[in-house]
Amino acid sequence: MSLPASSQPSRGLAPSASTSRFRVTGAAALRSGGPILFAIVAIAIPMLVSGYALREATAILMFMTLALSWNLVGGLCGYPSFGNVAFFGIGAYVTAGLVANLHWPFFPAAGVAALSALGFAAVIGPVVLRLHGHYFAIATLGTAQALGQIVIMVPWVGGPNGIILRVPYATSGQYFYYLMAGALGGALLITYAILRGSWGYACRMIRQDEIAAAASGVNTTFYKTACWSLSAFVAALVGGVYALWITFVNPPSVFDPLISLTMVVLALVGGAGTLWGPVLGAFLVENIDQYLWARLLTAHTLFLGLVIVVIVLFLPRGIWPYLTGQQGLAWRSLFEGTKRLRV
Amino acid sequence: MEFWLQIVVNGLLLGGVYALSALAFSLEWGILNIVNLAHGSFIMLGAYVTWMLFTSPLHLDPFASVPIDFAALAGLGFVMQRFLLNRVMRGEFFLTLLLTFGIDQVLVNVGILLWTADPRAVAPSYSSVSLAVGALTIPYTRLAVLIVALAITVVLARFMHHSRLGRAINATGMDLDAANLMGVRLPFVFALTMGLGCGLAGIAGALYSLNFPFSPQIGGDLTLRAFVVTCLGGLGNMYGPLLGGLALGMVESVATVVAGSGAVDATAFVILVLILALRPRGLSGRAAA
Repeated sequence: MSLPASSQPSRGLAPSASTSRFRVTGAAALRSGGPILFAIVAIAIPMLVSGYALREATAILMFMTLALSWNLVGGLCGYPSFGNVAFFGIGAYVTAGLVANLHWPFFPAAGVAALSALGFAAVIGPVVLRLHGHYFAIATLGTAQALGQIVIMVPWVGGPNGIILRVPYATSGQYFYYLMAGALGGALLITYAILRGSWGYACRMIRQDEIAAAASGVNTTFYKTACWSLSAFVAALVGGVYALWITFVNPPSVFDPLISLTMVVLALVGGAGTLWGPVLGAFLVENIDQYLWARLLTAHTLFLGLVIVVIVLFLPRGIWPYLTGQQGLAWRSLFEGTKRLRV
Repeated sequence: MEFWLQIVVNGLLLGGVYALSALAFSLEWGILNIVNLAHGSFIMLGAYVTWMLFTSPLHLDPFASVPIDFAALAGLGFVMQRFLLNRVMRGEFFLTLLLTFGIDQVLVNVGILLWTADPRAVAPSYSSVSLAVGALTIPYTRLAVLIVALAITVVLARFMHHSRLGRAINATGMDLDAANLMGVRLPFVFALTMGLGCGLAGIAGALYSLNFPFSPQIGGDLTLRAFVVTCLGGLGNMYGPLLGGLALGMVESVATVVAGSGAVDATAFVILVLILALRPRGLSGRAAA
């Protein structure tokens, strides 16, 4: 539809001649140097801090990975799942059940948990991914809620009381930090592999125009179900590590719909559909959130709400596209984005 | 037999609550194409407005506070749409979804800061009195909700189809740009629709407070129920929320007896997922864009 609102749509988006070379250099430096720096810092953190700070760092890595998990289906394919916590919950519960009730070692338990989430996603995927827009969003939300309610009725995993895990071997804060870091590395690799190949192009086509994609021979059902299943795999892996780390799972804590919504927010703040956007978003929001949590316990999600409002209004594409020069760094481009969308 | 009749009556009465709560949600979705995740929190605000008026020295009757609820929340909804949501109305749908979620978080937390997380209740002298019809008991306050839900549905349907403003709102819901070309001022009509929706949510809140205890966190469940009801009833039909609400009320009432109260929530969500899987556009009505 034609809009009268933005008479000069390209003003903020096109790089002007005087600054473009500088910006491209900066962006290139950010693209190649940033990840290396990030990896070094991430590996070094447990040698620098311990105790509470290390737990916070582990939690931030967890949310980075969860944001990347949502990004696989919500960012890449444009299917905004509001129920990814279902996979997190499956991962946590299957891992906890196998370790606590059948005394499995952690790694095979987490592997089985991640694969069962992948299987579950692959089964419901073709049904749920047929829906679009609001209907998809709420169907996923409903699936996660229903799953949480059903788990309460399963006595094998403790029903409403949940499971308390006793880790049979000595573990330290560093151990869980590196487990989370491993999950994050895996999520980054999966996203990178998808983005750079033909798979990535298929996803982008699905996001932009699914009917056109199907008409040009892209097996849309296969690609979106595959992305959704990988998203489930990653989320369940994180859930498994979470279960062992916190040593207690119950339905309200691992099927909390707020976790789904946090994933969405973190990915959107950073930039959905990009490789590093969700990581950046999780880093920024979770740091500020934990800072506020320590000082304003009763109302710290107030901040989350305000962040969402500001991001949606002023940075509908997230922070990362602005940093890397894909959006132009001018202040004006901030408001260009909002003008385009208003009535 | 009488037992099951009572279950059905309970279901209808519960359905009245759901119908009233879903009316506004369905209106906002059908016209504005916004799934308002803050909907439940507007009901919560309505409940607290009634509670404050009731516990204040005025000791205002909950029914007398209904117009005040409507006016206060309609104003809030109008401002929210005019200055926040209107800015992203042409964006991808999940921008409005997220924005309303953010607003919801803000409302919940402001509620906790203002009124603490303790559950409250509004209990006037008549709150536990019931009408006895044969062996059936019908609590008056529940009956009031059902009657109000019926009345508002009829008035709203008349308004939407027969008044100039209602037709402008309807036209906007059908085709944004065509309505604009016919001289409908979109920003104003959008804000008015959201104001109307939030005002109705306020009425729902006033009556909710009479029937159930409430805290600032009740919103999420109410929003999800409103969604299930809207999917059941279908969009684009003013009587949809009423039918959907009564249907969900009945199902939950029967499920409580058959499978225990723990299964009620799961039932609602399983129904939701089944409807979406089998009839992706709701049981009746048109699809949302």
